[in-house]
Amino acid sequence: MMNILLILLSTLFLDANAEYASGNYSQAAMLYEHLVAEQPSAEVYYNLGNAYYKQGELAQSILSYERALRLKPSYKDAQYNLELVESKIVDRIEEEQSFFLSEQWLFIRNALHMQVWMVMSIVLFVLMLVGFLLFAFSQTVWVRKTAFYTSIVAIVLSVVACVNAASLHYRDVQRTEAIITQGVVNVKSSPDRSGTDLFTIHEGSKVTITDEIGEWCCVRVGNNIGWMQQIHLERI
Amino acid sequence: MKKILSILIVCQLCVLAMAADEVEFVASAPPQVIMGKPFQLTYVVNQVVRDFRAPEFTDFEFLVGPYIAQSSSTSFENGKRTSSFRLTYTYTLKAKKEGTYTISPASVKIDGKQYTSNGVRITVLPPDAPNTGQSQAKNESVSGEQRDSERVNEENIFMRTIVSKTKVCEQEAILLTYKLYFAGVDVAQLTNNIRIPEFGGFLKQDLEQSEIQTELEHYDGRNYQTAVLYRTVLFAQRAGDIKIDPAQFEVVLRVQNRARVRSFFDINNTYTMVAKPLEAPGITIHVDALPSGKPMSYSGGVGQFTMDSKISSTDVQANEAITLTITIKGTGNLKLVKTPSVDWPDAFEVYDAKVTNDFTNTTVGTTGAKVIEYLAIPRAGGQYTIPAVEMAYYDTNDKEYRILRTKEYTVNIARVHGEQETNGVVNSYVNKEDIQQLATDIRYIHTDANMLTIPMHVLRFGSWSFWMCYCVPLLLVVIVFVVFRRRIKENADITRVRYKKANKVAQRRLKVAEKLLRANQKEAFYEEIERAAWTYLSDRLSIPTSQLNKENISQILRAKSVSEALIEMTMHVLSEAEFARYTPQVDGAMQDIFATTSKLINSLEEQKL
Repeated sequence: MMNILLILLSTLFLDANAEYASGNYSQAAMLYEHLVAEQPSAEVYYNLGNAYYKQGELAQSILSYERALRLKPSYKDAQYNLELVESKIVDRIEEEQSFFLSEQWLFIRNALHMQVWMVMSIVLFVLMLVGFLLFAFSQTVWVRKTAFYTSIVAIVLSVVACVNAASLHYRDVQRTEAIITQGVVNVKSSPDRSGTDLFTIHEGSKVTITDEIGEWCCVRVGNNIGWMQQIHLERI
Repeated sequence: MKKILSILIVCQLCVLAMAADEVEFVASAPPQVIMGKPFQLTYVVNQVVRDFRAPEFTDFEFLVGPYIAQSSSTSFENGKRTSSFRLTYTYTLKAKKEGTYTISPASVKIDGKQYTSNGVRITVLPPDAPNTGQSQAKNESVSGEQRDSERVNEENIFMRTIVSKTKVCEQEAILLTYKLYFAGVDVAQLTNNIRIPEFGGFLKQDLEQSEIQTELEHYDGRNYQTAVLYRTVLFAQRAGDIKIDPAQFEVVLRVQNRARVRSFFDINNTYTMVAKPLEAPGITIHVDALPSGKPMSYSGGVGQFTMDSKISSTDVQANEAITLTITIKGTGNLKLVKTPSVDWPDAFEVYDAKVTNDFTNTTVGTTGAKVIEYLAIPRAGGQYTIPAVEMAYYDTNDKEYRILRTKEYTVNIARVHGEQETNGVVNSYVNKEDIQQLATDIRYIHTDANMLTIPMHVLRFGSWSFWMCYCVPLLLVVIVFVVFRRRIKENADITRVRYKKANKVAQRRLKVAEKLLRANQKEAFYEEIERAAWTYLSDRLSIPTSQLNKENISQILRAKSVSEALIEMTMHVLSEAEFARYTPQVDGAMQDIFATTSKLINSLEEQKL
């Protein structure tokens, strides 16, 4: 049963690729969407991103690339294309400087898959335990010393890995990151159409959702916070 | 004297002979005449003639003629003697009917030879319509100075804006003319007070302005004298109705002053120079957009064109330049035709094209040729094809797009191997270059259907199994730790260890004893048995062997509530072992002792001591 599904999916995949090669980008995009609805995969999201880009749909393209990278953080092609497409959007996003290391921290966190962090955490924990045992029961001095320091390092790294995995999990579950899909959005001071316009953002920019009320949500872009309607963005 | 005379005669004859070589016989008449009005036709010849024969004036009414006039003159200039002679025959004719007619040439005989003049073409304009018409001569009004300007009105002098076409398509050429019409007024000159409108929406191509000449023209029932004041060629740049604003001109008229007759003696007619502003009306040009379906290679050209190409050479070495020359000839908006692009193969380094324009502005547009030289240098060897160059234009006659193509060229580039000879050693080298970044674009799609990264959840974060992965090893380790700890502690307690190991040690000794029994080594056997028993008791009772003897053993055992029978057995074993050591024994006794000792140890083992 699973095999039949896989065969069907791979034919669909090849069909979609053929459409893309002939220049029928909207057709290809539709087929790729079918595919990911059935079975999400990093490469199909990547192709989808390409198909949207070729049609000029920058926001959708960025969304697809981000989703691809969530499934495969080390996907070089997706990273390259995402960077290229982001260079074509209107806004220049400045990272908020809440913690001076946060950018590097996030970079490292996003570099590996959540599963990898989890496994790493467990392995390091076990290593710590083994080290502890060796420390407790070994007779040789150098063994005890190495074991001691190794355990300390291991438990620290294990906690870090666990925290990263937790962070990624939270991100996947809560889906607080989104891309603006409307050409121009005026972000207001209150969740109301009559609110004062605070700042403007454009299609393709990434925002973080911090709150929700009905059809409005509070977003943060860099150091700017304001309210906008949820229909104008799409979560990654 | 005679000599001088003869020379003079010869000279004169020569001159006459020279004069006789050039016969000029020209007929002339006004190009346009008004029906019913007389005009003059003249024949001028520069020699004495015989037998002047005028042609038949079939289309014209002969009034008077010929009136013959003759003039001659001689002049010396720079030692050269020139003489001229003119004989004029003048006829006065009247046009009978409207139309264009040709008066046949006249003929003369000079020195026996017959010469003919040119023919003359005359256009006869219809007369003025009877309603209009105010000739100045018939005007008997008593005129004050104010009235002078009154005579000059719109019916006598006005301007017309004439365009060759009011409906054109984009980029098509139109000729715009501002023409002055006047009748019965005396125009002295044009002033510089001219305002030509800005031809917004058009590209203007000025024509060479020649000297202003007047012509007779029949317009709207009247015959007017006309003069073209301004002409230009316009190319519409966009579709729609484009309005051209009126133009302002100014002429100076010489108006006869019919002022007060001052005196009989004052017969001078005075003139006033009056400046009259004139406006040439505005006009709207309807511009059709070019039809849709422009070919890809549309160059922006509208008109009629041809394209030709040639190439400097098809066989060159690498790094030698090749020039492709394309010539576009025709009429239309040549100035705006885009340079066609040549799709050079990758190995060619392309340089800017050089464009040479050779245009003439005519009344139908710009005519001429545009020569474009494309220069490229091949950097690698091989055979390459330069594809045909395309240029599409809109043909205004056929009203459709046409595509012109040059032919394809195949060029052969000979490879170049750089070689240096240094001391007889030949080095081949190839110039290395960094990879040139031409442009950036997104990377291509992933095509392998078999290599797809699917989200696999081996472990779900926060799930029970995840935490188990931590807890299980932790638990294991804790257990191991604890167990080990105890072990070590125990190992540190020797007496305790001994206590525990007593049986094992004893059993080991018994095994040895058994071996000795079989080997029938009495001494050794009994020794082993004794040692087994004593050591066992020492270990179990935690009393060193040196402090043990038969007496206190039974005391200790009694104190530990061991049964009397067992104490009895213990004593027995101990005595027997000691005793039998030094006395010869019966064979079976060894076996007995062995069995008894084993039993004793086992029994004591069960006791809590």
